[in-house]
Amino acid sequence: MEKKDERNSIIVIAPHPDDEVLGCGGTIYKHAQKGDRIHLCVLTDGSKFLDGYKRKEECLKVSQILGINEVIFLDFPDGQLENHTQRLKSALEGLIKGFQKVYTPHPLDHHPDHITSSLTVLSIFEEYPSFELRMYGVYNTFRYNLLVDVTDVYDIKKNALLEYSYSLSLTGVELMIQRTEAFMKYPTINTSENKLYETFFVADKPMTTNEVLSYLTYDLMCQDPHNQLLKKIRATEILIEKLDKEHTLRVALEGEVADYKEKMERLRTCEEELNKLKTSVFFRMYHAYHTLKPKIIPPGSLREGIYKRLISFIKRY
Amino acid sequence: MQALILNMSDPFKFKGGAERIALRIKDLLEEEGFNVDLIHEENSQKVGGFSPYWIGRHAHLMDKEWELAVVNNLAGVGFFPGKAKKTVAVFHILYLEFFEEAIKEQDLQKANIGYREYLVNKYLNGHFGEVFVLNAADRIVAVSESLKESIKKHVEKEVLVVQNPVDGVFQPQNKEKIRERFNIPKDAFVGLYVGRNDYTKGYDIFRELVSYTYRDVFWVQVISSGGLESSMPLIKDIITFREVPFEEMPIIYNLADFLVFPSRYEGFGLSIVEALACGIPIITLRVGIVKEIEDLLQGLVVNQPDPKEFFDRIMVLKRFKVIRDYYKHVVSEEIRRRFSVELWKKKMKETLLS
Repeated sequence: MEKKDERNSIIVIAPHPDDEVLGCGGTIYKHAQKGDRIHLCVLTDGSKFLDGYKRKEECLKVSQILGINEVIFLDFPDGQLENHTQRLKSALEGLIKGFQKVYTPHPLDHHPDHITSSLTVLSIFEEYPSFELRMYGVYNTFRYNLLVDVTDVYDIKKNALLEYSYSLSLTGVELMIQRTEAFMKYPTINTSENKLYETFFVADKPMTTNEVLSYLTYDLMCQDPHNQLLKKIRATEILIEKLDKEHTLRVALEGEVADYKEKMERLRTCEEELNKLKTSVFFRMYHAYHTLKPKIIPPGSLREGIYKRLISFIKRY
Repeated sequence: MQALILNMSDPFKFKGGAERIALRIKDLLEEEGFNVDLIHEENSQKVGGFSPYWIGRHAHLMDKEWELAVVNNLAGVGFFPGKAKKTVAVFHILYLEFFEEAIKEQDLQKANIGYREYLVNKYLNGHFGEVFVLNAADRIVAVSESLKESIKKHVEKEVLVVQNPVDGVFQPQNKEKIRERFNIPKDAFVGLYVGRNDYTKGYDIFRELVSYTYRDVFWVQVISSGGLESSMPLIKDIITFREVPFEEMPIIYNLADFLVFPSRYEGFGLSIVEALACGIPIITLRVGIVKEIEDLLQGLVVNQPDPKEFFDRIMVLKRFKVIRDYYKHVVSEEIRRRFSVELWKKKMKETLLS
């Protein structure tokens, strides 16, 4: 049952403490409002230019504002994720597979840690597309296929940004807030509505890294068709494997349910038999005898003495 | 001139319908002056577990270019984008149809087919492999009109029909002599089953049919290999031949009075035309080529996979020798005319080389 709850929850991958708010703070809060269980996984210690400990403290406070249930710090060295791709993949693989939705930066977000984290999650998704992948932007605008209107929850996002005043102090929190507002307004060119949006590229079906990159770059990226094909075959095989396992489990559970139903049916039959017995003349007489006997012949009374003597007399002859 | 044929199995080792056509195409192209490379799963480098991919990939990686490539069924998956000027995909069956129409998910248990096998065939072979080949090939050939219709459901491309030919060796022979050779009574009413002992070939229907008719019919079964992994227990107390070589099949057809063909799905159904060419009436479901030759089947086409329907028609055939004679003298000749190798060569040549 625990596992099932986890599958209905979301995880946000943030390369640094503050990226989750900048990229998708409003959407996280909306998930929390719906009662979704939210995990935040911060990949680096955030200590390249600032005190990492203070940034973590800010992150924990912000998590409370946004309704995040659990924060995981992986503590990879800030700015050096690309040197730890294998370890990062191993750490994330076990962590994210069980979630229903995984948020991560898009692979064209120009910070090297953002690119590494994005490509790592993408490679996991390529091999094990069991979750819905949602990519957000922090630095760069990108080709999105989902807009979330966060106008109504912007105050919360702004509070969260203000709480990150130390983490954002290099640029200045006020300037970062203005920049974030501008970032949230760029989709209005398409919607023509004066609203604030968070944008996402959503992959809700198996896709290869090349396919995602191809989408984000309007198919301008050069692709190796054989590599693409092989990856698609592998993704299909993995899905088949998964479906087969689930089917085996389902069949086993259905078997158990059938067994229980059969047992219930047997119990019901026994109950009916018992009821029939209870309503029979013999049982009613037997019941009446045992109910009335102590009243007619009270224990320790003279009547009981006479009764016992009578019975022993009958038994003797 | 260079040509390439991609086939799943080695056609020199396993001679199923598709393999025999692959060899015929090879002969045809060589007659036209092509040097033909034949690649199959045994002579190609294996990568992963999906053989249709590695067969095509092997060709793709060869330091060679071809004027023409012929890919049989799925065998072309890894070939695209092909290094051939023209690629023709020849489809003998369609997994997409097989696992959506003939065998549905709810039939798996009675068909004795594992869920994984079903998923692999439906999705990896069907929705992935077949759709990929159909979209990538320059020209698509189906071996029957019914297969063409099935393909058209999945791809908006022109599909040409080139029906498989029946070899000249399939023709009526002296029944009595053959029966003597196999110790079968001359006056027996002999029924024949040809195919695998599995659900898709309707072996379950055949089993039930044998139990109804063992007094009326002298049954002979010819069990072939290949196909799906699942099989059903064989009927033990009737004459059984296993994996009869293609060259000896005319003798087997000719010892029978009729062929029962309860297969639930066929792309073409070579046994149907082979038996008819030998002058043997067949009782069959409306599968593969049947629609195109229904005018010759005189009510022997069964609408439902129901043993009773087969039984009724067997009894008609038993009662009326005149029908059996009509097949021997009239239908046999007509089938050999309609499905002649010469006609096939002409159509296939036009399709491949025009």
